[in-house]
Parts: sequence; structure tokens; C-alpha cells
Amino acid sequence: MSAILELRKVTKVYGRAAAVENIDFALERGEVHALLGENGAGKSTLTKMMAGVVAPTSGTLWLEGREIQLATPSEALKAGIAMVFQETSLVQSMTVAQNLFLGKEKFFNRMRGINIAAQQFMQSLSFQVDPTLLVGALGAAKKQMVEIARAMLLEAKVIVFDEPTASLTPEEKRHFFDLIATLKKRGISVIFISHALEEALAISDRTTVLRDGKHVLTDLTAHLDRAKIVQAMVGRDLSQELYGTRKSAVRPAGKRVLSVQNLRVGNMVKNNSLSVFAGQITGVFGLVGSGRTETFKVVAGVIKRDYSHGGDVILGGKAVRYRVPAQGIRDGVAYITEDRKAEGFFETMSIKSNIFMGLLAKARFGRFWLRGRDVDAVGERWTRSLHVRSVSKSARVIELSGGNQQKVVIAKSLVQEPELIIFDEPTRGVDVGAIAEIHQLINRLADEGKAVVVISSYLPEVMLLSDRLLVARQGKVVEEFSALDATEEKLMYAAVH
Amino acid sequence: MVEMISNLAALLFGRRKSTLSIPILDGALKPNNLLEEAPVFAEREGLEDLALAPDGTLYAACGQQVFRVSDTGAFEQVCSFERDVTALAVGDAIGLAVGLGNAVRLHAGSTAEIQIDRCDGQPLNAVNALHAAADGTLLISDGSATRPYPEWRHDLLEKGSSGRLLRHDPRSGNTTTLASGLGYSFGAFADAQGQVLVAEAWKHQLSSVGNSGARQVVLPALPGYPARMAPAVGGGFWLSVFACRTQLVEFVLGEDAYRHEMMRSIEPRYWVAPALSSGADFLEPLQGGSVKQMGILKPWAPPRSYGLLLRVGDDFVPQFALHSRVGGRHHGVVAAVQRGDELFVLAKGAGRILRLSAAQASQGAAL
Repeated sequence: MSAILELRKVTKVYGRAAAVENIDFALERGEVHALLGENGAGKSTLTKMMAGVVAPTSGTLWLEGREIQLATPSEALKAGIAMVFQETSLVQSMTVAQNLFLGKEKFFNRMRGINIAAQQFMQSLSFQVDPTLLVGALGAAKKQMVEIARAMLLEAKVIVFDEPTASLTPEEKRHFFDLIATLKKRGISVIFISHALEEALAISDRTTVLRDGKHVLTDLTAHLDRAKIVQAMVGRDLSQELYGTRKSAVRPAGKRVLSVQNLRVGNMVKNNSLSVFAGQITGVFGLVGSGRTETFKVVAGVIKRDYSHGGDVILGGKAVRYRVPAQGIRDGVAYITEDRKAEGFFETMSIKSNIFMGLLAKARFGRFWLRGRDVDAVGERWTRSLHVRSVSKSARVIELSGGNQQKVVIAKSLVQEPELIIFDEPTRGVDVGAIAEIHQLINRLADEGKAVVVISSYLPEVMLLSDRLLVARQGKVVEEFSALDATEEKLMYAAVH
Repeated sequence: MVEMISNLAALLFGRRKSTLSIPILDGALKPNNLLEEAPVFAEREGLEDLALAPDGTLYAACGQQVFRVSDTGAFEQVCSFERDVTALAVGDAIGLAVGLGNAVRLHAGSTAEIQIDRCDGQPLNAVNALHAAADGTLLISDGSATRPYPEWRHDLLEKGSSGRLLRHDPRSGNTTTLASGLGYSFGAFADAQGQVLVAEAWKHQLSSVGNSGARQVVLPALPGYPARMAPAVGGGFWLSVFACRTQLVEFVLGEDAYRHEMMRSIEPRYWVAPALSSGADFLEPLQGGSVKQMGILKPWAPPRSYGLLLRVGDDFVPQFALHSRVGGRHHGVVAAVQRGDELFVLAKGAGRILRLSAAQASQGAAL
């Protein structure tokens, strides 16, 4: 095989810090290459250089044996390099079809024609997505499908997937892996960034690991295993620390903090009932579309239940019906979103300002007594408490790695001193080092007597964290397991059948 | 203001009325088959209550008799009455106390028989639970002032709230009212700290009652109708739940005209109301809606009767539950007592006393 894309001695420096340093990387024609590393290891910077989003400070890029310079993403696309971003880059207010053909429009466009072409193309990929729907109305998995379809439509020679499977169900993942196999057969080269190491091990031909902006190893995936990769990524063996142990004891349930009874939200949540208890982690597992997120968004006041026959939400023995999330926050409910970029933080504001925003949301009248210097104090305290790592104290949240962004989102909620904390996909798009820290934090909260809910699509995570597990299917909780009794097979069976 | 308008709209458009929801059986109350699969210790038609003497002897009330139950499950008659025994308690200070519907009779050793049939000028009417407290007093639950004990269904459908909790002190001979206006009291208990608890069946809650009569709800929103309580070894207590709530019954309770017509024209055992046992008669409500099909109960069938016993901690948090689910036999749990590791449960609907290991039940329920 010959290298289709090569990066030779590339370095990218932001300010005084080098995001990637002196890296050599070669992508063979028709290979699937897994690019792994903790958040902040330099994966995104490296791939952004390939996609023309950032220019290297030094070093060169070679495509099919010719040196190239990519000043913009459109130049990279023209050259045949497409990137499917971790956080969806689709235009929310446009339809699926419009997004697919964005930038490829003709002078005169007929919507019907675009819709039909989009429908045919999506069907050819076996993606069940209605092209006339607004992207904003789609779930995370479907958005990912559109994102992938767009890259396919551009007939790219190299496709970079940044965390493509984070929001996909197991079935959809299998489908996605088939798709990768198809791309490979067509001679398309794929770079695959994922924090789910099993996936990388399963589908990639070669693996490259970066750490702190430096190249650590590149080898045939067949020669590697999970432990070796994790060790290369973090410099220590974390696999046991993360998912290696099975729960031998569970925390006893405290008082019933939340009781959801016969909740209905459109077609998403159908007659759902569940309880959450203090001093315990309640895991909620289910496939995408099972109504998990919507149920807890109603609890937190982010969305509203049906007006008629909408059921009851009873918090601490009191029936509540929030119009806005601030009411829920004041009652001690914290919802930590699965989509941090859209709903979790103000990306251009600093870490401390974001954390302070959480405090402002909690205080109803007290906010008038909050002072500017409180911003620094609160920010400093929580940054230290959650080990948020940034280049500088005034760094904007957008400049942080995914794991640190997630910590800011968590800090923003915890500063409100909630009694019920709902984590929705808490480690999605977060590196293994940060995952361990977030897991420790979740456990600590439960040990302190808080009622904690963890919604996760990643079975090992939800099994490891939870004391009791609820399985949602088609809009309602259908099964409950003790963590001592649950197995992956049982959970998956309940989620699917 | 918004809340007021919202309430007004709900009143006008019936939003709240249409939102019938009941707490579910999850967490510590997660269903299992421990009660259904429990070995039958003794069986006799008409079993009503259990009591454990301080020396560990097990007593059972059945029909008009009180029996001593041997370790093999054999019944040995202790005494007999002219009316059905509706409640039973045994204690050092009170001896054998027996509820007879509208009276309580005490046989304290060699002393003469004492009968209590009124308190604060009001006659007893539906004595359904007795508890010998550690301080030597007797707690008496008088479920309803309007309906006798066998007519508990009537009291529910009439939304009765005339229950009383009384305390009798054998030393002074005085009987005092601790609480009144209860939504069917069906269980009285004094915990290790001397705190008095009363189960209000129609309000689905447990309340603590102070000496001044002040009540505080300690275990609200139960998914069923709570009944008698008994101390558990290691602290806390066992709470029998004689039937589970259903949305259908809650709905009927909100439909006054329908309910009155049903009570007027239909035999009580076929009312849309909780039952202690079910499945024996095709005329039971909902059969027209095919709860059973081809003789098989649909798995989602609402529980007309159910078997449920809760283990509640000192902090009033349920720790685990034992179930006999829909379609099972050991329904209508009205009493339980624990002797060492042995747990005796009375499933009145089946006329059976079940015997389980409390430790094994705890482990089984944890999974």
C-alpha cells in the first residue's frame, strides 16, 4: 500500500503552547486508521490540519505524493479530504436535504428535486432519515447519520471521523461499521477518532496514539490490545481503574427523591413511571429514542410534558410542573446535558464566568447581592475541585478539551448545590483520563447522599456506576435491575425486546 | 399568578382529573416472587391476624377462635368468642388482647376479662388492629366509625375518614383517643423509640402520632393500601400492604355517580375495588375487557388483588419488599411477625400462613 496522505514533522503552536509537536503521520490508501489519545492529546488539531481548518506552524502535508497547502476546509474538500466532526456541524434550521447539498447548490434549485436526490442517497446508505425534516428536530444519532452522508456525498478520498459513534445505538453502530467496510472496499481511506477503544480495535487496520501533542506509537491494530493502548494514551494502566471491576456491593436506597408517574411527552415518552432515591446512583440505559433524555428533561423543566394526561412529577413529595429550568434549579434539580456544546455552556465565555452563570440561575433574589469578585472565587474553587485544566485562568471554554469542557458543565450545575443530579451521557466525547475523574465525582456525589441519575448508552459505564439500573424502551422504563444482578446481555435484551 | 391561572384552567378543563397516576413498584419495592414462592406453613379458612407472644409463641386469629400455632403448623385452640376475631395482640402487660369488631377484650392472666367498647363517648366500630407497645399499653386501630370491619370496601368507596387510633393503659384502665378522622386506620405500631405510627389505608401513608395528637406523615405515597405492622429483628418494622392501588380504582373514586350506582346495584364482591384475592370468578370486574384470555391472565393485567409486605427501616425508608404478583395466590397480606430469622406472613386472600427466612428474603429481594 502507498500513503495517500502524509504529514511530515508537523507542529502547531497556539500562543506559547504546542498542541502538536513534530508529528509524522501516514495514511495508507484504503486503510482504516484509528487515531487515539486523551482529550488534549492533539488528535483534533492534527485532523484539523488535514481538513484545512488550521494551518501547521511548521511541517508539510502530502497528498498522493504531492505536497499540498490547505488554507480552508473547502480547499481540503476539493482535494478530497472530508471531516465528520464530533460536535455536529450541520445547520440546525435547514432540512436534511438542504444540509446534504449545502455548498453544492445550483443556480436554480428545486426543493423537490433536492429532496428526492437526498432521499435516494440516504436510502442507498440505508439511513432511515426523512430528508424534509429540519436538522434541529433530529436526535443526535440521526444528525450523525446526516453528517456521515454528507461526507459520502462529497466523494472524498479521505474521510476523518471524529467520535462518529458516540451517539449511535448498538444497531446503528453495527451499521456504521458496515459502512466503513464499504468505504474501505471502495479504496477510501478513513481516519477514525474514538474514545470507545473496543470500536477502534474492532474496525481499524492500524492505530496511532498521541499523548500531550506527541506521537507515542503507530502499529498494526492486530498487534495491540486495550491495555496497551490505554497505557500508551495515559502513560499508566487505567483499564482496570475504569471498567475492569465488577460491583460487589450497592448503596442502599435512601428516601424517594423523585417519583415520575405515567409521564407522557408527545410520541417520545409514553406513560413512563420511575423513582429515584437519595444516596444512590440510578443508571438509565436505553437505545437512542427510548425517551430517557426527554423524561429527565421534563423533570428538570427543560421541556414540558403533555398538558392533558401528561402524568405527574413528584419531587420530594411535592408535585411539580416546571415552565422553565430555573424553577427546577431552585428546587435542587441539576440536569447535565448530553449536548454540552449546544446546551451546556457559553463557549466564548471564560470558565469562571460559565460556572458563575450556574450560581446566577440558582439565586432568585440573592443574585443582586452577588459581587464581581465572587466570580473569581467561585470559579477558582470549582476549577480546583474538579481539576479543570486550561492554558490560562481566563481561557474560554471553547479552547478546552472535551473532558475539561464537560467538567465545566458539571461545575456549573454543582455550584447550585442540587439534591438531584441528572448526568446525561456524562463521558460522551471525553478521554479516558477525564472519564475516571468524572466517574469518581459521580460516586462521590452519591456517597454524600445526593440522588444521582446517570443516563448512558455505554453499557460498561452504566453498569459500573449504577447501584440500580433502569432500562427504557419505546418511551418508558420496562425493567429494573440491581447492579449485582445486571449483565450486559440482560440489559441489552430488555432494551431491545 | 400563573399558578393560579393554571389551577383554574385545570379545574375547568379537568386536566388534573384526567391525570390519574399512582406510585410504581420500583427501587426497594421492586417486584419479585418471594411471597408467591414462600413455603406454606399453615392453612386454614378465615385466618385474620397473627401475634407473637414475648415467649415466642405464635398465635393466630381465625374465625371466632384464637389458636396457638405449633412449629409444625398445627392449630391448637386457645379461646373462642361469640363473634369473629378481627385483631389480635399478645403482650406481657396486656396478656391476650382480642378485637371483636366493635369491642376489644383483654385476658390478662388471672385478672378478670376487660372489655373496651367505647372511647371518649364514641363506640368502637371496626377494630382491625391491636399492638402491644413496649411501655405496656395497647394501641387500638378502629378503622371506621360508619362501617363494620367486614365492610371495608364500602368505607373506601364512601371515601371514609372516620378512623381512630386509641391507646388503652391497663394500669389505669383508661382508653384515650390519640388520633381521629383517619382515612381508614388499619395498623398501629409503637417503634423502639416509643414513637406511635398509624397506617392510613385510604390515604396510602404512614403517620407518626404525637402525644398531643399531632400527626406527621412519615411514609407517604405508598403504591398500595397499608395495613398492620410488626417489629422486625434488627430495627425497623414489617408493613403489610393488603392490596395495590390501581388507576381504575382511583378513577372510580373520582366518579361519584358511577360509584354510587355501582354500590347500589352490584354485589360488593364484584365492585371495582381492591380485593384480597381474585381470579376465581369470571364475573369479577374487567373480565369483559379480557384481563384473562383463553384462561390466561394477561401479563399487564391491573392487580385487583396483590401480595405485598414491606421491610421498613427505622428511618421509615423501605428497604425491600416481598411480592406475590398478579395471577399469584398469596394475596391480601394483612399481618406478619418475625421470630428470630423466621418470618411468618399471613396471606388472608389465600387463607395461608407462609414461613420464610428473613435473611434469605433480604438477599433475594436485593437482586
